[in-house]
Formats: sequence, C-alpha cells, structure tokens
Amino acid sequence: MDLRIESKEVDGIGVIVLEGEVDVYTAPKLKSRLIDLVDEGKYNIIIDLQKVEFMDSSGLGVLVGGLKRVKSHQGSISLVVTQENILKIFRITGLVKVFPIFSSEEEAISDIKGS
Amino acid sequence: MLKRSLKTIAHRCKTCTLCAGEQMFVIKSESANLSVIRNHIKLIGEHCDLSEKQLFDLQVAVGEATANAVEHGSPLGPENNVNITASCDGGALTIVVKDEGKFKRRMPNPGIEMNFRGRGIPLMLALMDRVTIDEAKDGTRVILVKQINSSNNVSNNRSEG
Repeated sequence: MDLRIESKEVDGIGVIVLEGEVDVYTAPKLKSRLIDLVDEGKYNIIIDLQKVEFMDSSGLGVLVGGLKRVKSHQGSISLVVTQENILKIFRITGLVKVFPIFSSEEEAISDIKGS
Repeated sequence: MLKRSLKTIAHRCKTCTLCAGEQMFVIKSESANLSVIRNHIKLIGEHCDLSEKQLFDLQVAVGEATANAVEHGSPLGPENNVNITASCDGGALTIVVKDEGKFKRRMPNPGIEMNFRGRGIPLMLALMDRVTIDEAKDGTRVILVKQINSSNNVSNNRSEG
C-alpha cells in the first residue's frame, strides 16, 4: 500500500488529505508536500488523516518537522483524526499536546478561522 | 478471554505452522519492503487470533523494529538483509527482528515534544507486552512479545535489554 496525497485550499487554508500508509518509505512524499505548501505561503495547514491506515514514528517526525516550519511563520498544523488506532499513536508519543486534533475538516477550519 | 477461546487457540497453535517450529523470512533491507513485512506479520497475527486492535499494535511495533533495522542496522544498505522470525506457543506470539548492523537506541528528550525522531522505542514499549533489545557484534535482535490473551494494557508493559 502506498500513500496517496491530495492537496486543496479552503478559505486560504492549505488542506492535505492522506490515504494509505505513512512510513519510512512514504513519509518523504508527505514532507515534500508540506514544504511545497509552506513555500506557496500557506502557513495554516490542516492534515486529514481519516483515511490513513498506518503511521509510524517517521510519519510523526515529518508532522513535527512541518509544524516547526509553519511556526516560524506564526502558522499552525491541525490534524483530523477519527480512527482510534491512529489517535493512540499520538497519545502514546505525547503529540496530542502538540497538535490540535479534530474529528472533521470543518471543525478544524472553523477553529483556525476563529483564532 | 474465555477458557474455551484459549483452548481453541491452543488447538489451533498445535496444528498451525508456527507451532510446528518457527516461521522465518529474510527480506532485503529496503524501506519499500516495510509494507510487505507488516502485511505478512498481520497474517501471522490473524492466524494467532489476535484482535484488530492487537494486530494494529503488532504491525506498528514490528514496523518500528524493521524500520530501525533498515535505516540504522544495514551498513551496506539493500545488500544487507533483515531477518524476521515468528513463533507462537499458544499463549504468546514472539517476533524477532534481526539486522546486520548497530541498533540506534534513540529516545526522545523527555522535556522536548518537538523532536523529529526517537519515538520508535517508546511506541514498541507501549504497544507490546515485552520488548528486548539484544545487541551483538553481528547485529541487533529486537524481540517483541504479544500475549495472545492480553487486553494490552499500556501501563502493563516492561522492557528488558
């Protein structure tokens, strides 16, 4: 299983929708897409992980790297996670305290707009 | 788990290929192979009657061990192999991941949540019932044990090695 990455823009917010597996092999694709978005001037980004079936620590590292990148522009990365297994990975590693996590893209968008 | 279920597992393990000994596979040390390894481990876990939740935990833990073997335990890159052995005694499934290099014992700095890497070992420890890291001159063995009848309580783990 590979990683499928789709990007879109909603009200100036960059949204990345992932589908598949994020591991050492596929994580560089995600890293590259995050860098592209920041280079395009999108500093508030939502990453939708609802269709992610597997994520390892290299995927988490890429998300943290992306967060550092957008924070240097006063931006943010919000996550959409609905699967308990994926949420568990964020809980174990303490990243639930680092990333705002929402149950839908709409919730994440309204949070960014409201802040 | 009910006694009846345990009996079923024990019976199944007496007849399955894992219980006849060990199932071993050797795979080239390439990150593109990690997905193949995880899928194979999932099949083994299904064969041992692990729950969906336990299968995911197993895949993440084995994924971390094999990723470390590919990234840090393979000085010759794809010319090295990762050796994976699975065995089951009816009560626990044991997966041994052996590389041909030196294991990178990287742990995140406890006070800093923004580390890029170093979360692999904490994940293995949290998701498995027992984790042993055995370093030797010819490579490192990571031994991951999942109790088949475990409810996988995260706080009930221990680490050795």
